[in-house]
This record gives sequence, C-alpha cells and structure tokens, in this order.
Amino acid sequence: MNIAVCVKRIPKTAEADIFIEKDGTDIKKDHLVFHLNDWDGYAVREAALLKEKHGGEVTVITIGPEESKEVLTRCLAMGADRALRIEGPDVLDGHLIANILSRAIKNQSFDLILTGVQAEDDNYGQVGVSLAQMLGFPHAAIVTHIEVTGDKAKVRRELEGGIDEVTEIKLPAVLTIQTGINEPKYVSLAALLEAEDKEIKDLGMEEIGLTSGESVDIKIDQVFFPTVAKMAEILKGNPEEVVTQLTEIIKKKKGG
Amino acid sequence: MKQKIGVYICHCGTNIAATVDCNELARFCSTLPGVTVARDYRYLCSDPGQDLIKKDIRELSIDRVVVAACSPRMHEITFRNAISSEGLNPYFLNIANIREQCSWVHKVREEATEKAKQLLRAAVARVLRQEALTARKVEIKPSVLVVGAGIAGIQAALTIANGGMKVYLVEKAPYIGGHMAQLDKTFPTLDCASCIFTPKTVEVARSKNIELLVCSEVEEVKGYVGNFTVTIKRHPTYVDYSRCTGCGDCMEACVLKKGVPSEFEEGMARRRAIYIAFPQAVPLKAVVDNESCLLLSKGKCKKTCVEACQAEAIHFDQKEEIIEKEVGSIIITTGYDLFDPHLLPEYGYGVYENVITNLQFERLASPSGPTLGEVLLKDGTIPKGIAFLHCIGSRDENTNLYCSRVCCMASMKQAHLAKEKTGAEIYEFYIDINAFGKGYQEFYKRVREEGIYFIRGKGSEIFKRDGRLVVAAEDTLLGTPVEIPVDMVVLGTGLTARRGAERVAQIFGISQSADGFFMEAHPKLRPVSTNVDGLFLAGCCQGPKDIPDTVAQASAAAAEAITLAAKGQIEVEPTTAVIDSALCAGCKLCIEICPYSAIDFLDIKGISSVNEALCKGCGACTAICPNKAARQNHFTQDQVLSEMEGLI
Amino acid sequence: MKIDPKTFIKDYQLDICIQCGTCTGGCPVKFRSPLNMRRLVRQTYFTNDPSPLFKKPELWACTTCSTCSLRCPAGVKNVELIMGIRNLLANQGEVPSTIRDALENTFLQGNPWGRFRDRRADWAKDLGVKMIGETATETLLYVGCAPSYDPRVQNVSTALIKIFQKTDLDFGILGKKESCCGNEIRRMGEQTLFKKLAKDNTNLFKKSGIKRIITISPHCFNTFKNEYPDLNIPVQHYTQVIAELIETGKLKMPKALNLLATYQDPCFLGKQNLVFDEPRKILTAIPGLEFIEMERSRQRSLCCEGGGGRMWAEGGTEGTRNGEIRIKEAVALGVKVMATACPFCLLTLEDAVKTSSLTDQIAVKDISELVAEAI
Repeated sequence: MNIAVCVKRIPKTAEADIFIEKDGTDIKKDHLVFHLNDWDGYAVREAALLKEKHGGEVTVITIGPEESKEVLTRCLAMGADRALRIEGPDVLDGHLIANILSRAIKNQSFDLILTGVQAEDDNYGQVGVSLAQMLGFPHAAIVTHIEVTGDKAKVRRELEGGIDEVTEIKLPAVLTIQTGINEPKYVSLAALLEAEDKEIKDLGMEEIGLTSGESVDIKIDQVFFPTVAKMAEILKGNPEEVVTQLTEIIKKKKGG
Repeated sequence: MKQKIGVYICHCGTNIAATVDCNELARFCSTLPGVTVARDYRYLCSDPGQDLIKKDIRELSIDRVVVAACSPRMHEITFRNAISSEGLNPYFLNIANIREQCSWVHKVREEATEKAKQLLRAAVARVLRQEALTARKVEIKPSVLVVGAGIAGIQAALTIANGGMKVYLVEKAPYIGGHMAQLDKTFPTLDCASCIFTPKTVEVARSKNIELLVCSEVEEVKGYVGNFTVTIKRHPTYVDYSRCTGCGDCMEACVLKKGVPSEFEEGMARRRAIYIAFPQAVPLKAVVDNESCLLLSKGKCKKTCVEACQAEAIHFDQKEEIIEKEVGSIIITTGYDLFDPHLLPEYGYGVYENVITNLQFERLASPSGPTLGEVLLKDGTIPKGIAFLHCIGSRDENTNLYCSRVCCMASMKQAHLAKEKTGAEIYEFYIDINAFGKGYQEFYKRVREEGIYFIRGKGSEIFKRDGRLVVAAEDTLLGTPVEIPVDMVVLGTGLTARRGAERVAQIFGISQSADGFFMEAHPKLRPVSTNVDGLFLAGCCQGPKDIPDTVAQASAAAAEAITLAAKGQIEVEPTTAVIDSALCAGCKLCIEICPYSAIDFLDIKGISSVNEALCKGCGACTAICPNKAARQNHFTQDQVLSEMEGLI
Repeated sequence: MKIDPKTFIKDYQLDICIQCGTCTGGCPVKFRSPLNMRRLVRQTYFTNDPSPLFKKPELWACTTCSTCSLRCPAGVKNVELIMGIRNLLANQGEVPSTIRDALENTFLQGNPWGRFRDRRADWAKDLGVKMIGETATETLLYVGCAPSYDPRVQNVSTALIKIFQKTDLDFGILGKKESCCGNEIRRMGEQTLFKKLAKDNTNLFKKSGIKRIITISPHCFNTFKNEYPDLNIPVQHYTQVIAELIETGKLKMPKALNLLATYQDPCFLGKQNLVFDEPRKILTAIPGLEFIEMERSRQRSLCCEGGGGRMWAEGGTEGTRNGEIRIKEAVALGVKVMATACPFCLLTLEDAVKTSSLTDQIAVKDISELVAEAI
C-alpha cells in the first residue's frame, strides 16, 4: 500500500510571547520553537500503522524552506520511507498549497493520501479537501478510524454531538485525519539522529510546472490582538433566582 | 682438576616432554664443555630417578650435578639430599627450570626446545663455578611466646606447657579468655561457655610452666627462629597482684558512681574506674583504668578505693614494666574485633537503643551479665518480638567481602535462647544458612522445629513505627516485601581483624591478607605457619572461625612449636652474605639498605660485618656495595655472570 | 538503534546477584506497585528475550532514589538497570504518553513542562539579579526547571536571591539561556537527549567563564557533580553554601521563628550524595527554631516519590502515597513545619498536606524560605 502524507512545519505559540510584525500582516516567528503540526503527526503515525499491517511505503511531503527538513526527518524517524520537500513561494494560501501538492502527487501511484484536519497556525482546514478535488479523488474529512480491505477503506468520521459517521470509500482517496485516531509513539533523539542520514528529495516550483511567483487568493489584511476588556458579573442566589437573572441579561443583549 | 658434570633431564611425565624434546636436549648437553654424561628420564624425582644420579656419582665420579626439571621450589631439597647422600656437597647442585619457565609457557616444540637448550647451557656454566657450602646449625630455645590469651592462646599454651616446655602467655586485657569469656552458651551443643573453658583458665593460672602476663603488650621483637628476643611492656594496673584478693570492695568505693561503659559487657553495663572485669575473671584481680580514673587523669581524687582496700593492694605509684624474654618460637593468637555497625546507618545502631550486636545479646543472655541472664529491653520489659539479621558487615561490597563463618550458627543459637527465655515471636532474616560443621545442620533443624520464623531476605533497614522497631525486607521465597514489627533487633555483626592488627603485623614482621587478617604461609597446606620461620598463627587472628576450629588450629600451632623445640636445632641456609674485610671501606651503604637489619658496623675496625643468623640472603648489600666487598654465598658475581653468558 | 538486552547482564552486573532481597526490602514503592527489583534482576538475567517484561507499567513506578544500588551487598547496579531498560524503551518509542510529552517538551523548550523557553527567567525580572553574559561573574546560580516555572517553587528561588544578596555573594543566573540539567531526562531513559543536554550545558558554562556552580535542586546538583562527563567545575548545593555563610559569620539571622520543625532528607541530596549535616546545621542555627528528627531520617529517609520521572508519570501506583505517610509522621511528632531542600519534595509533600486535610496543622517550607524569614 503506497501512502502519501502531507505535513506542515509550524511554530508553537501556546504560552509563548507573541509579537506582531511591523506591517501587521503576521506575527514574529524568529524566537518561536517550530515543530510538526499536531494533526499531521497523527496522520504520519496512522500511515506507519497501516504500513505495518498492509506493507508498502509511506512518503511524506511538505512545502517549505530548508528548515522544514527537520520536520521531514522526524517523520522519517516515525516510520516514513521517503521524504519530499517542495521549495514553495513565500506567500501561500490553502488553494495554492493544494495546487502544488496535487501536481507533486498526481503522477505517482498512491493508494491513500492523508493530511491533518487543519494546521495549528491558521486553522483553515482547506488543504485536504481541496487536494481531493484537484486530484479527482473521493475524500472523507475528520477521520477517527481507518480500516482498509482491498481497494476500499471503511472510515469513521467525527460529527458533532458525539455522533460518528461510518463511510465506505473507494481508493485512491484523500482522508483528513483527526487527533486521537491513534496514540503517538515517542520519537527518541537517537532515532532522530539515525533518520538524519536518510535522503530527503528537494523539488522546485519549475519542476512541477509552476513559478515561484504564483498568486494567492487570500491575502492577510491584518493580524492583531483582541482588545482586552474587563467585565465579569457574578450572579448570586439560588438556582431559580440565578436563572431568572440570566434570562433577563440574555433578553436584553438580544434586544428582545 | 677438571670438573665432571652430570646433566639429568626430567620428562616430568608429559609436563615437559610434550613440549620439549628431551632426547635432543640430552644429546645437546653432552656436547657442552665439562659435561661427562647427559641423561633423560621420565620422573627424576622418583626413587629410580634419583638412583640414576647417585649411580653416576659413584661410578663415573660425577662431582657437579645439573637437574633440568620443575621449579627448584618443588625438588631442590630432594636432589640436594640425593647427592649429599653420596657424599657430594649439596651446593654442587644446580636446577634448570624447564617446566614453569619453559614447557608450561610455550606451545611450539622447536622454539621451546631451543629455549631449554639455552637454559641448560646457562645452568652448566654456572655449576662449574659453584662452591661447597655448609649449612649452619641454629639452636632452638625450648620456650614459646603466646601472644593473646583467648581460647586459642590458652589452648596453645596448655598444649605446650603440658609437654613440659616453658610458655610466656601475654594478654592485653586484665583477664584471660578473650571473647569466649563473654559467651553464654555455645553452639551446637549449648554447652555453657564458662563451664567448658573455666577449667582451662584455671589450669593456665595453676600451670608451673606458664608465666601469665596480663595487661601486657609486645613492643618489639628481635632475632630469628629459635632465638627471638621479645620486649614486653606491662602497663601499670596500680594494684599489687600479690596482695589483691579480688574481694571487690574497691569497686564499691570508687567515687566514679556513674562509671564508664564496660568493655566486657559490650557497653550494656557500666563499671567504675577501678574494676574487676567479671566475677569469674582469671586472674581475679582489680585494675585501674588510667583514662577514667579521676586521680590519674585529672590529678584529684579522695582515693576512697585505697581506704576501702583491706589488703592495702592499691598503689598509685606503680610504674610500667619493661620485660625482656628470650624464646624459640612465637604463636600469635590475638583474636578478632566485631564489625562496627555504625558503618551501616540503615540499621539504626546507635539511634535505637534496642538494636544491638550479637555479642551484646550474648551479655544479656549470660547469667553473669547486666540482666542476670534475662533477655530484656532497655526499659526492663520482656520483648514480644525479636529479629535476628544475618550478614551485617559480611559478604558485602560496601564493608567486608568475606563471610564471617560463625554468625549464622550464633544467630540461631541466640534465637533458640531468646525463644526459651522470652517466648517471643522470633524472626531470622537470612540469605543463606551456613551450617557447615558437626551437628550444625541438625541444630538448624531443631531451631526450626522450635517455631522460629526463617525469612529468606536480608534486612534492608530498621525504623520505628508506632513505638515498635520495624524490619524492612523481602521474603524472597514468596516474592513479597515485608515490614515486620518487633521490639528488639539483634544484628549478626561479622568478625573483623583487630583494630591494631597492622601494628602487630609490623612488630612481628608478618603479612596481612587483603581482608586484614594475618596471612598464613599456604592457605591449604601450611595454615598455621607464616612467612617468618618460627612464628605461627592460630585462631581468629588468621580468619573467622568457630571454637572447634580455633582449638584445633591452636593445637596445630603448638605442635609446630613443639616440633621445633624437639629438634633442638635446625639448619639454616648458608646462602648468606659475607663482607670481605680487606675490601670494605666502611661506607655503610649495605647497613642502610639491609631490610633485615642483619649488618653490624664494627667501630673498632671501621668496617661492616654480616650477622649470619639474621641474614636472609636477599643480595641487596651485594648489589649496592661499591667496592664489591659484600658477596653472597652461592650467588657470587662469577656464578651469576657465567649463567648470563651461558644464556646469551 | 536497537539495544540488545543481553548486554544488560555485564553492564549492570546481573550475574553476581545473590537474590538476597535487600533491594526490594528497602524500595520506597514496594507496597505501592508490583515492582520487585530482585525479581526483575533475575528475570532479566535468565530470560532469553526479556522484552515482554520491560513493557510492564510498574517499571515506571521506580523513583530512582537508588536505595537498591546503594545497599546491594553483591554490587549489582540495580537502579542503573531500570534506567537502561527505560533507555531501551525510549529508543523504541515505547514510553508512557506523559513521559513522552515531558521528553519532547524538554527537547523543544528546554524544560519538561513545555513552558516557553524565553519566559524562564521572568520570575527574576525585578530582583536585580546579574545575568551571565551581560555582567561578569564567576559563580552561577543554576536555577533549574521547577524553581523557574512552578509558582510555588519560585518562592524558593526568590528567597535564595534575598539571602545571597544580603550576604553580598557575587553570583549570576543564565536567564533564558538556561536549559534543563537532564537529571530526570536520564532517569526517564532518554540517554541520547541527556548527553546532548550535558554537552550543550557544559559548553555554555565554560564559554561563560563560570568557575563555580550553586544549584537549588539536589537533582541538578547530582547530575552536574556525578554524571556530566567533562564539567570540571566545582558544584555545590545551596544548603552547603548557606551553611558555610552561617559558619563564617557572614549570614546573620536576627529574627526568631519560634516553631518546632523537622526535615525531610531528599534522596538526591542525602542518601545519594551524603549531604546530611549542612541542612541540619542551618536549621539548628535559625533562632527560635527547635529541630526534631524524623524517625526515618538520613540514609533511612523515605523517598517522596518525586524523582525518576514520577513528576510526569500518571498512575502506576496505588495505596497511600509516601508523601502522605511522611506528613502524618511529621504531624505525629508535633511539628508545625516540615522543612526540605528539594523542589520535588516540596511539591509532593505540600500536595500530601492538602490531600490529607492537614493544612491547619503543618506547613511545608524549603530551608531557604525559613532562612529568608529569619534574616
């Protein structure tokens, strides 16, 4: 079974000090620690588990500068066999990313393509689904369980309210992977150092028929901190009294 | 006159012959200058082998013999005796070691045979230059010094004295009996220790042939086998032994009411500054401890003891005495010390008053002890639970590697006594049960049948919880960890060399093994001899052992001493150094370097002279003498150089 | 990189084990988990393929207090075996999820809690402390991860700064350049990561011209002193420094505290490195402080279960926690304060006070906090 996993290298922002760039279109990233997108990590692990069961190869692909190699190395230590880095343009959006990926993928015979549901930095959730459309493959999003038999996959999708949907999908297909689908294994430093010896293939935009000046459809206008306001009203009384107070407040806010 | 050399090559079965071509060797030797005959034989040390040599001496007038065989340490004496029986001086023999130094360390036959040829060429060259020497005879004085009057020393002294020889029995403590005097009952027969050994101590006191010197220590030893001069220091006891009746009134009167911890009672009771160690002590005389006595240490005291003594035996002006004795042999029986459990803080020794050593338990169990034989806690109550922990300070990388041999049996004996006296729950925490002796395994079975619990797991730690002492360990047979609450913990503390053992070794010139105990000459075949002729060991000073083995070893040492004395005289190797008075310039370099202090300076003549009796023939003076005035018999420059030339 | 478990036999001297059980007998978690050191040694020695053994969760209950190795009469390297097994597991990626997170966090952010690297010295920003690199000094106060990030333990760091500044001790901190010392990392089995931390830290210390290191945590003290291969810089635990300052008269404590206190010997300071007397010297020198010993003190001190990666382990043990046992023992002595000299002891014992509902009877304080109150 040949599986491709699309991964992204993103900065860890939780608890970090965030500063906005001078032009206001992005945050400063020089002082931040970068790592593999959480969702993509689950996807890579899932691919490795499927490989253990069904044989075949796992290829990881990312779009990014030289620094992205560290994330590909991690994937190789996690069980991937091949790694491909595409040197993309500086400004990207979901559509362009899917476009670049589809061109890199389309002529190779992958049975399954996995992406994470979304990326931790922009949370768009577009790439996986767009990629499926561009490749002309069926897709299932927010997948929490995969079972492959022959050329079909039975997948569970996470819906709201605790409901799961079970879908049968014909391969090749694109699946976007939800966190919690598996228990990620620890990647030891020793394993990482060993993986550093493995080959990572580089690809330029020209080789896939695009230019480094491709345009994007979505432009970031402004990034800013939400205004910090202070308001906390503590409602006192027994449950009935509190509910009465609360309903009054909501009615007033609603304007009714 | 030209020498006639006989060369004899031993096959030593296959030990030599498998690697060295003995036939070829014999053929080669017959071509060497001076060699009249060269033979090879299967086992030269055997009777027919020796006869071969003797026949040649008789019939071919062989007057120099080279034996190519095993190490001279094995059979030099054998072959010397063989040739001297035919009237040839034994120092006309030379041994070439073609076993340990050739066939046993090489594999290739051609190379080994070549090397053997070289060794023989050297041996033949040397033997040509060897001279006739006569062994010196040394008188053996028939008296013996026994150092330490524990059961080992007592046994040795009695054996020798009963044989009619004079014994000087020196003891550091004020009483004899050592550690055995502290014991209650002995394993496995549960004989009362005092009952079995008091007859011996009394015999010692009564024996006409034993001169007992208590409160005494050996300061210096000079001389050599058969002729030792020993300097003994007798510490002042401040009590005139000829007057003291052992009544004990002085102890009552001593102003030091609180007293100091009693050594005999292992600190479980206190004694005054003037004291008698215990009521059955031999000799039953009071002594004054100069450290705790207020008069002696601080200069001020009412001297109530002097007042109380009706025999007027106390004299504070008593001085130390220096006594010199001349003896033929010495037996060292200085005994052991107990391992100090402070070194293992996990057992709470010194923190918890009811954690005690096995010797301390012995004093509790003893009817003449501080609790009159009742096993009680420090607060006077009877314990409901007692734990005995094995291997404390033994078999332990952190303290002593060796097994102390007696503590397993001692623990079980004490467990039996404790069960009898208190009816408490008794636990033995062990790793292995060392019940090796006669009746020991049977005793172990008996103790088990008495309802004492044996938990296979070494005690890891002692702590207090809810007012009781808790032993933390693992029952390894069940595989479950345990924390067992008891009231008293008896640590199976091991035996160690005496604290002053290093100094004793130095004084007598003997060695210590890696474990600190004194080293025997050969661990299997010479267990009571040391590297010093005429000096013997017995008892725990040589290594931990129980009473039966101690007594056996003491008798063995006594036998060695008696044998020496019975011979009356022994032969001493004449391979000593000699200083040519004509060549000696009196520079004294030889005196400086001699490790045996065997060279004297004759002031009148202004030259050095070797005391043959003390000389061990090490060759140091010969090497250092700038004038070549010092030479060593049987290792002359001539002989050594010719041997080297033969090799090269 | 596969590690062959057969190498454990020679590496940890499993063949000389006489199965005496001293290790299991003295183990602080012997009643709290199925972990049995003695049995583990024998099984590892005899089983052809011990890998299934190594997957047992109780291996993570070990606190690496090292009582087993210290007491073993045969010379078996017990606690080192546990660390070796954990290393084998880590290399295969088979560590519990919380341990995984702690290790990954250390790799990314320089501390097992994954807190932001740049904020490591925020606690010190208004204290006027020298930053090594900006101002010259030869003495490094190595703060450590817990004293930097945990709000409770930050009090200890602040107290120490106060004490050192009062005695005009010249020192500096590394600020946000400081990274985890690696002691717990090594004990969780990440030997490669530990080596990297040791190398990077050693280079940083040397490049900064540091001639003396003082640590707050006994864990950092232990690894700098005993496990860093090329450090060659003298290391002290802060209690040794304060004891010295008191002895030489440089530290004066005019305020009386008037309380009865006892002391928990931390495993990494006490039984492993034999620093018993200095903390006691400090406590007895504090005016108005009456000091009383715990039953199990010094070499017999009961491990608080904070070491060996336990701060990041979930479950694996059952029954009453050792911390609660200790607190109850202290309360039975009648003390008002349980003093300690280790951030992990501080946190676990304080937790125990809360879970035992004894907050009105006893408080847990670090020695530095008590001294700071007295000056």
